[in-house]
Amino acid sequence: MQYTVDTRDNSAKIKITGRLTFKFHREYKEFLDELLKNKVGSYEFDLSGVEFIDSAGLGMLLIAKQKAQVFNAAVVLQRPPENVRRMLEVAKFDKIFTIQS
Amino acid sequence: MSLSPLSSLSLVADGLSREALEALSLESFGDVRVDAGPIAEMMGDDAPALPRSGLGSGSRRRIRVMGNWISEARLAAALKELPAFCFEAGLAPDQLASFARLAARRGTFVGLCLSTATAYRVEPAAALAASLAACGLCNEALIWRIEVALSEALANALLHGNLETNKLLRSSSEAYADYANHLDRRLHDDSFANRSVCIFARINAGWLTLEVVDEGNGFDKSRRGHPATADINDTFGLPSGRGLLVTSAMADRIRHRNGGRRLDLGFALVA
Repeated sequence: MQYTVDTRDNSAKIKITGRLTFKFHREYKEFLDELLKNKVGSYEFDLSGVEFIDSAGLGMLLIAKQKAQVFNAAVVLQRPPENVRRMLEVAKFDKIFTIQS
Repeated sequence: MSLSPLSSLSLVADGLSREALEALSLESFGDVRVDAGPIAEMMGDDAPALPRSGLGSGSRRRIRVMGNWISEARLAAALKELPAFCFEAGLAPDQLASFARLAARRGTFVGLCLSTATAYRVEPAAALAASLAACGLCNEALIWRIEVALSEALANALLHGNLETNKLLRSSSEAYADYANHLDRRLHDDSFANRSVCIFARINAGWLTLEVVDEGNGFDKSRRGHPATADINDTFGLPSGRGLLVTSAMADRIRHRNGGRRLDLGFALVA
């Protein structure tokens, strides 16, 4: 899994590529710290490059949302591929997150 | 040393010196003879709807021993030929003997056994799903369900089974650093990292079953609130605890055996 964080104009764009799975546990805290070091009004996760996501990956997205909510930031999931979208629906994340095609 | 129990089969040693191969003590397999013949042949009449042409109807299959550093690419290449039994050098001989017996059961067409450290690193669910896709056994939608269910089952077997990490430790972002350190220590502790995790794929009466076997302490599924008895709504908005629920949503049937140390994932094969 690889990611880039591009922060500008009170918004952070996070591009995730590859497999977002339990293997990311060990780097997740570092990822979260980088994400939240500059508090912005919205966090947009571009999931178009995600090949595969498991329940641990879903949990990581949720923790990021919970952290951002503390300072009232919006978290949006964008362009999930079909299989990722199906996982989001299985976990009922479509009722928790704003998901944009 | 003699390799007689397996010498009549095609044994492929991947990245192993002769000395390392001899140190495997393959005679400990005893009288176990893993059926390495063509898959379609060993399926018999149990699964008439299967596309036999794609199921190894030709050449004899292999037993593969993998040594040195097992990468994702090497594992994918090894599984592509659907070996009868593929295992990592370094697993204890007595373990291998019992795994070989499991791989030798009728209808079992591939067995894979890895150490916890290797399985954590290479994500075998993806490689195994790709090899099933290549043999024409399942359509794309089913392959995806298999990969998700198997990935979840393996994550449970590794993290909660063999590594005995407590998922509650990662219930918040503050706890994540501690969890990551804890996980790292376990992965570098041989008493946890050398435990094995195995996957056996078998076909019987139109069902594909993937068995995931770990060496952890198992669990009591009757325990109140355990994921095995929970509902997806119980995890709504929670950062963890939905692994088995996702598994249940993907597999057509699941069954816990051996006190939670084995999970059978069943998928109906449609003609």
